[in-house]
Amino acid sequence: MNRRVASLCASGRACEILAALLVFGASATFAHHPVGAKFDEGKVTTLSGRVTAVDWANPHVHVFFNVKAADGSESNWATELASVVELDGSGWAADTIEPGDTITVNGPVALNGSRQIWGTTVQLDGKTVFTVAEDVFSSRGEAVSGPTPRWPDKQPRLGPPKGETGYWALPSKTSLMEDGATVAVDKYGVLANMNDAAKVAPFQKWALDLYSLRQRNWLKDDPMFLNCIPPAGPRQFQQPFGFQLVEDRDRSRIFVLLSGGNSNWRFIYTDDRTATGQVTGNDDNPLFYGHSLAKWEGDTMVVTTTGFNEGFWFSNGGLPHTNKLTLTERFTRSDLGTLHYAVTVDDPGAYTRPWTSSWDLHWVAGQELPEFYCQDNRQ
Amino acid sequence: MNRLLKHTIASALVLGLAISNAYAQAPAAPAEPPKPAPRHADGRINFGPPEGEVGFWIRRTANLVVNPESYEAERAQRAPVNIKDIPIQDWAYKLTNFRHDLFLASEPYTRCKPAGGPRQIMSPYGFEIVDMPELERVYILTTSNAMTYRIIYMDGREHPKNLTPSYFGHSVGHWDGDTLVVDSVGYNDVSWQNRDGLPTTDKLHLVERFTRRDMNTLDYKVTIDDPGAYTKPWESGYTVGWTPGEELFEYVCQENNISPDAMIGEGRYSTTVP
Repeated sequence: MNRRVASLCASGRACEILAALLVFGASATFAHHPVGAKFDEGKVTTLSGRVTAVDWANPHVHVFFNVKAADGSESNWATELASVVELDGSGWAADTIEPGDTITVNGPVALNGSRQIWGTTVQLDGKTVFTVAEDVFSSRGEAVSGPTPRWPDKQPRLGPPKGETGYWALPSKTSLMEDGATVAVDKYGVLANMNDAAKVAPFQKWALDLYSLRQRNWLKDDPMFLNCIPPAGPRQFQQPFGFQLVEDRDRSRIFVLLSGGNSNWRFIYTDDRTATGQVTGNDDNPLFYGHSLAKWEGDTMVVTTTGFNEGFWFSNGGLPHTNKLTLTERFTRSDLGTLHYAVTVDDPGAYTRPWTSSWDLHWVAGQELPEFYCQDNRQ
Repeated sequence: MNRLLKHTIASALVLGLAISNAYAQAPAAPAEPPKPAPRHADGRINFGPPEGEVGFWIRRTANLVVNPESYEAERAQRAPVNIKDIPIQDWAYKLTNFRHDLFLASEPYTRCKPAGGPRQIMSPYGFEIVDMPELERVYILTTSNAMTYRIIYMDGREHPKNLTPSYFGHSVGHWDGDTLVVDSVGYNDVSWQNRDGLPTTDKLHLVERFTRRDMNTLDYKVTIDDPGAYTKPWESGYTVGWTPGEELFEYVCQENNISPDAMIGEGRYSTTVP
């Protein structure tokens, strides 16, 4: 349980309900980080002032404004907002607010005491701006139906049908959880009830302790949030901005093009190679994305990936993994609009047995991946 | 990437040296006429490896100047003297020098920012140009520069109106014989177009020409048309070399990035200035 929440409630179930309410209540958008990881939801305030600058950049737009104190002195504050991708998609633009405008911001202030406030609401001339549409992601493209598109040799196509465009997004789950477990989590992977932690996966003791610690800290140590470390492993298929699979059949490989994180690419090799390290062998080269080799079993592409490092979180919500991790991922495009994804996590360093988590991804037809760089407005 | 390689790369970045790459810097083989540029089965030019092989591109020369022969620094950590060969506007010239006065401390590359435009082709660890005629697009995949990708649309579309400025802008291409011609707009104004800190603005319009002269050589020509920073369009280009038998590798800039600290933190004077 978070420190500041602990001060507001006695213990046990009531605290957990309060924590869950705080998380669910404040997370109006699927931003780059949970709001509670950076802002103190126990300290909500309202500030007004004249805008000095607008930084229209991912992962978070910032609007700077001067707030006048009772003694007449002014100090410059930053309002943190959702990403350009989300705000653009909701009809706002870089010139919605301009320097010289007077705005009123309501939201929680930064945990570290700096002059930053999360813009839960931002008002300009009495009108609320920079709201993020509920369907900013789900409204992308149109609902599609139809048979699985195929190559001339009948193998399913994992990218667009010939002559079309589109990408995969809208995962039906946004954090890893063993299939069959019924545990309430929010879209960031934050548990509604801390007592459910052990039900999420067959953790070893240390891994459960670490997962619980990360949860109690509201994921604030997530290296993706802190340092733009890639959302590698299954996490790359649970990002809100989506991904594309580009089949380079001439070269027996598939590019995974990501829009979340830093818009990285990676290769899945479909030739008969064996997994070897990229410079001098696996032991020497623990990687973020690992070495991925694929083969087809009927209409399912089965990808085996090894060679991971331990420097990233492989799921939203902070489930741990070790460098002993082997992932077996099964991609099945059951129709034009649906990609069924199932991952088996085999990590004898962190779990007591292999386990499987699966979800569906949906085809966003006729659209291009958004350009998103986590690193965009970070120094 | 192994520790030694990482250390070498970090040191090279910190010292601001041209990053020596074993592939790019290999001693020249005895002169032998290069093989002609490979072609796909249907006869079109192949910017990748011949069938059954692997390889990628790394720049050999990469100075974004009008006259590469005269390229020399004015003095240590100052903008190159022949920057005046470029029709640069006064504010952009002053900004370039200012960046050098600060020892290039605000270098976006060392902060893991992506680099679009000519700087992508300057990428020290190489790139691939992947032509996907079936998808009507060409991808450029880069190892460094944030390990990201650029899409060039080959389907005849036009640039959209009201583009949100971005690192890679919006690129449309066509074939002029065996030359890939790419027209791009929609850039943001925070990128540096080269290691010397040449600025551009959101008025930047690039025309790039990629020609595979032979098996081993790619000629890159670029016309920089930016009325926000230059007084007229100007041209530059690089020679890019083929690295056979190797594949692009994973490079995550954020993994252990100490360059900004080394450049602007306490380590600055002991590590960046000889």
